[in-house]
Amino acid sequence: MRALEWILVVFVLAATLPPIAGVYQFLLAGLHRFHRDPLQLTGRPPRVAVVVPAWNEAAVILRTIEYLLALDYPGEALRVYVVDDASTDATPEIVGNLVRTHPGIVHHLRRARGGEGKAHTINYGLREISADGWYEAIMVIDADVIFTSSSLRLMTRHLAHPDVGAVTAYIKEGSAPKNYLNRFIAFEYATAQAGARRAQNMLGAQACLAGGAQLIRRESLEAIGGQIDTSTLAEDTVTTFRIQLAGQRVVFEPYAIVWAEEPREVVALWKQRLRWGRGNVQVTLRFRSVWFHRASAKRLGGISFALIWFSVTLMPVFMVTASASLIGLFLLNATFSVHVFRALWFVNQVSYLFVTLSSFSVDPAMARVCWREGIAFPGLISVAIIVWAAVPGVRLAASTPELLFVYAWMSCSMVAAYLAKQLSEWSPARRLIAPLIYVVGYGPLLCAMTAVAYKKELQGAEMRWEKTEKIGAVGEIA
Amino acid sequence: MRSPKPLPVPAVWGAVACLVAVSTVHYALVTGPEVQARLERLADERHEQVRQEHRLFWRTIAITAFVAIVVTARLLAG
Repeated sequence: MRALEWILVVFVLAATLPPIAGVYQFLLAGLHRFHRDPLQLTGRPPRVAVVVPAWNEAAVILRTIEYLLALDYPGEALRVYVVDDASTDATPEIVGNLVRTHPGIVHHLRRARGGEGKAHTINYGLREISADGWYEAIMVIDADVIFTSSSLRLMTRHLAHPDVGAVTAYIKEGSAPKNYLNRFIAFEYATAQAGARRAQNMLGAQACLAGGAQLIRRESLEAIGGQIDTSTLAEDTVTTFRIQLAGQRVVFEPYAIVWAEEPREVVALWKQRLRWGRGNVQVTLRFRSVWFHRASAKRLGGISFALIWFSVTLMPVFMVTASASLIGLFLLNATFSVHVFRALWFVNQVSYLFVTLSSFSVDPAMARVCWREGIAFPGLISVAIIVWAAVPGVRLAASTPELLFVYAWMSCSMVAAYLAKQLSEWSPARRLIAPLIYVVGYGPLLCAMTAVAYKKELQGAEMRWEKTEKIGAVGEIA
Repeated sequence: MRSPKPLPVPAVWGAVACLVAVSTVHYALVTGPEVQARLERLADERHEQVRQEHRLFWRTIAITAFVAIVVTARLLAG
């Protein structure tokens, strides 16, 4: 019996890894000023071919390209290739007009037959433009993103270092006005990009070039075959891994800001994140020889990078096993279970406080708009448990229904988030969704999406590129 | 056949001198200040980024200290 108790304790304490990884990342992010300074003030900017895959993007494409043409970057060193995936809306006419008004700069490449997905569209564009020896780097972007004036210049200066193979930017949620979901996403991006990617710069291993802003040196692209992966749903992550495994560095530039329109409804977010989640599972399996193999995979094979990667991809497993183990411990030895819970929750409390404040710190402009969502990120019930367990004088009594609820909530919050998503598809309940997400938590919603992504992968569900609909909601950019 | 008349040497040197003078004046009045302004702007931008990273560092120290104080206080409270 004693052995079983200790096994359960190990399962519970394994759930401290994600919060520890969160604190570790923000400590590293705080040290980013000591990262090797790649800034160069002079030197010729490289010739960049911007590849814009577009499938029925009439609502957004004009503005995206207008902002690209207005970049603070030498005109003679910039070309824009819109790769039209056989759009059936007004995209071809809009791009055609741009080609006429900006001859030699904007190019329209049209596929005769489309619908195969973003990676295939990008590859069509790469094949068309690679015959021309003009470009020195390509920038793969989404059709709806808005590049701020200095962003490309800030990114390309890293290429002055020959060991840098690719650079990514800080994608920010730019919808105006923002609804509750946009604000949650804005906070998430500050944590997962401005914070985590700074930390990954420090570690020398990046997990992912953001799909909306991937600057890749020509030689690096050619070193991985000159094409983007089409066998997974995470082609940007595969590119990132392959470039690093080929011996080049991938860098995050936190001051290159790119605004993107993100989902406003839970259903659209679910579709997008299911794709990302399945892509992450595919990448984890495809690069299984990388994990914990520092000798062959360099920084990607380090323990730190694995801690960061698996704390995200295995989060639902950690939550469910911790919850089930605590309930098991409660049944075996209720008093002992309280002590184990206290240890786990102590780490959660410290991590919540540190990560939330640090996320506000890496992007104060975001914090001014999204601080409520930052506080409510794990869900108001979880926040209440954090506060309740932290208040001096509160004694966690064993064998109470409250205690069982607290133990179960770690995994039940994911189920509740899943139910909120199901409810959001039923129009009479739409008004309830926002308060439900605040109560249940955006974090558990992300975990539920990851759990469903596992299930889909295990079932071998069909891989379809389901596009996230964009309507041009990004607000005015200064 | 008559050989072409050579250009008078002073005229060639005069033209070269004019070209150099115009280029110098253009650089001094237009290109130079533009390049200088651009370099200054980039230096300012770089300085601002370094300053922001510096701030982030000190904010992280402050947050770490704050969390440590809260945890210590809680542990002392029993």
